[in-house]
Amino acid sequence: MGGKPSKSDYQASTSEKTSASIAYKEWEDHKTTYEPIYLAMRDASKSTGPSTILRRRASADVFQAFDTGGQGDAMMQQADTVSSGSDMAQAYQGQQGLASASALGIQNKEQANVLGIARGQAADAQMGLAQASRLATSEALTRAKAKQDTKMAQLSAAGQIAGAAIGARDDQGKNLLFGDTKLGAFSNRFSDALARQS
Amino acid sequence: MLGMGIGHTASLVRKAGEDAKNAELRKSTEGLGLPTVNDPERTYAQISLGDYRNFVENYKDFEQDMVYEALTDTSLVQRAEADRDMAQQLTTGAAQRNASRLGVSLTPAQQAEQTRQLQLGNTLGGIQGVNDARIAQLEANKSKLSDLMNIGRDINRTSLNQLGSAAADATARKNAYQQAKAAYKQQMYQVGGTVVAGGLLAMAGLI
Repeated sequence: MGGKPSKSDYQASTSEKTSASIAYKEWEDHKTTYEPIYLAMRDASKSTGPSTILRRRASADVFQAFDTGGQGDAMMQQADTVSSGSDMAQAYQGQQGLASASALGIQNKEQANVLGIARGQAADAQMGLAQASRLATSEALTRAKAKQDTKMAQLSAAGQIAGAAIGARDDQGKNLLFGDTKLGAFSNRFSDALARQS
Repeated sequence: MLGMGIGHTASLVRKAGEDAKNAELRKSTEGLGLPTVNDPERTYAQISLGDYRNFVENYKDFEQDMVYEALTDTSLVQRAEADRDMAQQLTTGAAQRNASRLGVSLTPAQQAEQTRQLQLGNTLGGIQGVNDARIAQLEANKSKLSDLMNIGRDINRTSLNQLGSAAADATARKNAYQQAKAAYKQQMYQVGGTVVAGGLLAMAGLI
């Protein structure tokens, strides 16, 4: 025979619980390991470190090219030329401009990467919340429908019981509630009519 | 009765097998430090909310700064102007050091010409440097804005999907409520009709 449904029959299985535990642990590990790295990347992307390095290197390259020349005669030639300083000035500014532009490009890409990762996580969080709300809605609707079905069944059962009570009779067919009166006869016929229609 | 007994025994055997498998699984996960998740749905919602809160606290301002810089940054142009001012004294010093190191001595006319050439070179270099910096700044800002727009497009798509999901849930709830009301009304009419019909039949004595 069937009986009342048991809540224990609808509990999560061990494998489901294990899967959920592993997923939660992985999320925690990710937060602990990678979140500090993302924050460090965010801070590093705001610094001017690459710019300083590239500009200093560009400056050194210019002065190295003009000051040493690799050959003693070339150095003498530069020192003796009235336009060497002018050439160096233009080369210096050009190289510094290139270095600054490269550094800014690197910095912008780094920032875009960090923001992409952060926004990706936020998007995942948004989708997670949307899915959680869908689950909650489904659960709420199922509960509401189950409540409504129970109410309807109770109403139907109450009607059937009332009909059976009204038409209850003894061995001689006499109505138990109203006896051998016109009301008793009416109740018997009413109960039979209800039984035929259900 | 016999069938019920066999069915019950089979169910017990099956349950015993599942219990054994579950015990084996539990044993194999011992020592891994796995947390207990009693309510996955609630845990999921909490994790998602925590991630979003983390983004707002740690990255929202960063994002706003990026957008502002993409629209207004002029750092390259300012740097080029500073380099132009610096170049004059750097190159003058370098020329003097070279001459002093090698014992080169220029005539007054040569020195005057050198100074004039330095100023001319610096001015030309400065003009070119600043103009190049303006072009480079424009390219850098546009590239940054383009990256931000790609990220923004994904945000827009995710947000619209989420709103669509919420709207669908609201519609499902509304429809379920309408259906429940209609079913209840139908049930009431049915009960009422049955009672009235039974009463009429009983009164007419047609049974």
